[in-house]
Amino acid sequence: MGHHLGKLEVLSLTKRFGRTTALGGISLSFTPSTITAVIGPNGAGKTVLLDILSGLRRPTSGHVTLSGEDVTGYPPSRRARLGITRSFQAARVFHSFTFGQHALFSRWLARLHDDQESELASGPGQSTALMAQRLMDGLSADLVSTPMGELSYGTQRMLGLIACALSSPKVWLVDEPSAALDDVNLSRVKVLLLTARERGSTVIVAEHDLRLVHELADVVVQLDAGEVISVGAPRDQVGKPSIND
Amino acid sequence: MTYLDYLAFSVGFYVLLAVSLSFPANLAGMMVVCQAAFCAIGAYTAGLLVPSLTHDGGWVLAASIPLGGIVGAGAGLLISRMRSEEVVLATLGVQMIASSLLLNSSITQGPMGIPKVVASSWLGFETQSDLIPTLVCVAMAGGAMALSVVGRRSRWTLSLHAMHDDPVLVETMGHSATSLKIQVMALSGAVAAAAGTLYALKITYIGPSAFTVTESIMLLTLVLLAGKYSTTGSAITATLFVLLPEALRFVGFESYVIAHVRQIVFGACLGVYVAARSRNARSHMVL
Repeated sequence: MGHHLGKLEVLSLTKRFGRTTALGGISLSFTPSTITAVIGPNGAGKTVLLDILSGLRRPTSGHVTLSGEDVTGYPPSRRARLGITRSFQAARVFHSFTFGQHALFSRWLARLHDDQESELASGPGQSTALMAQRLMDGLSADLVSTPMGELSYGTQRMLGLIACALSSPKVWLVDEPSAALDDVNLSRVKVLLLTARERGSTVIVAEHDLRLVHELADVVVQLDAGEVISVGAPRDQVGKPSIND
Repeated sequence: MTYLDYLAFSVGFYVLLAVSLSFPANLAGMMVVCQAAFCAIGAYTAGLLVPSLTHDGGWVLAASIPLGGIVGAGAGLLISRMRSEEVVLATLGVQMIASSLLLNSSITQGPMGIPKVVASSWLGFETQSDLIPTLVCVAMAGGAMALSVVGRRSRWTLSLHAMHDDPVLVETMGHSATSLKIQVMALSGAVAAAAGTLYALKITYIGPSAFTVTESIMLLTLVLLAGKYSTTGSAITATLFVLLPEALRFVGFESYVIAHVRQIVFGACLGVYVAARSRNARSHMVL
């Protein structure tokens, strides 16, 4: 289980786009076995923060560390190999792939392909990948064998999230997990996120749905205009007027 | 050179070039418009080596393939961070620079080209037969086809398909899209350079007019006509491109007419292809 532990920290992180400051020198720490919800109004900097954590954007200044290793200059592919997995707000899947192919590709990139079966059979507790595999097994054969470009938007989103979970992420960055999902698919995603937390993953969720935040999150970070307004337990945060507005 | 020899070589040559371009274009979705430039690297390597340094076609081929690979990798690095429309423009720029160099450099002997590119041996075996480049070309085209068929379910090919669909997602899943683009362009450049070398050794003369932007655009169109992910389709369109106009010889057309008919047939195919794609796209629209 040790290789799943990944403490992610940001130090004095600043991101500017021209004269606009998206993130204004924030410092945060995200611990393993914890779901941290990043909330705030549109333009607060939630997605920019996830982009920087995953390496899709470079910060103007500041540092990102994973288990003490400075990963600020690492490209997304290198961070992914270190265990940082990113799920997007939009449905991002390989449209020409079936979900079966996508899952195979995801496992291969996570270097689980060769010993997937043994890990699934003998891994300690319910691994995220095992839970994802179970969810995948519960899907209809048609759904797994249809090119994903032909599936509905919500189904693509759900499958994209399951594919991320198949890679057994050390750190899982999830942008708006509830977007475009119906109750059935959202409950599947909740199970995955909770399993990832139990498994020791560091889960960071950017979310607008405060009910979901209250249900899932251990820690809530409130952002506004690129600044950290507050950090704390959900029951201490969600009642605040600025969040509920 | 007999007619059948000419036909076999032409089919092998165009199949080799089409397959070389189908790796980046069909499999990875990179619209590369400088394949004629890669081909020229192989041809001019032969032109510069054969009279002065060696008369062995095998060694020339062995020299041109890595050279084409290096230049292809360089082009891959250049376009690795570009979007698809930028890739078209950048590779068009590479092609134009190459054409200009071929036309104006004293090393390439400018518009006069390089004559007498004749290999008198192949890997140490003395032979004057001009069938050897044809046999090598057809064998390489067959080998490239076989490799692409065998490897179509490989992880590498799957990665290229994934990159075709969404390079950002590939990156965030742990595969460097930059590295993939460099690899596929290196392979493409190497295979195209091999085709160019064989062309030079077969025709025994090379000039800049054989490696223009028109050739690159024509090749890209052949490959696009084959459809997404279809290396085999690229080989089929290349074969038809050579053979269909030749059929006109047997209904009494003169040689100079055939070249024009080829362009007309090609233009018509393009029109049909674009119309079909456009109708397909409309059928998927949600109103």
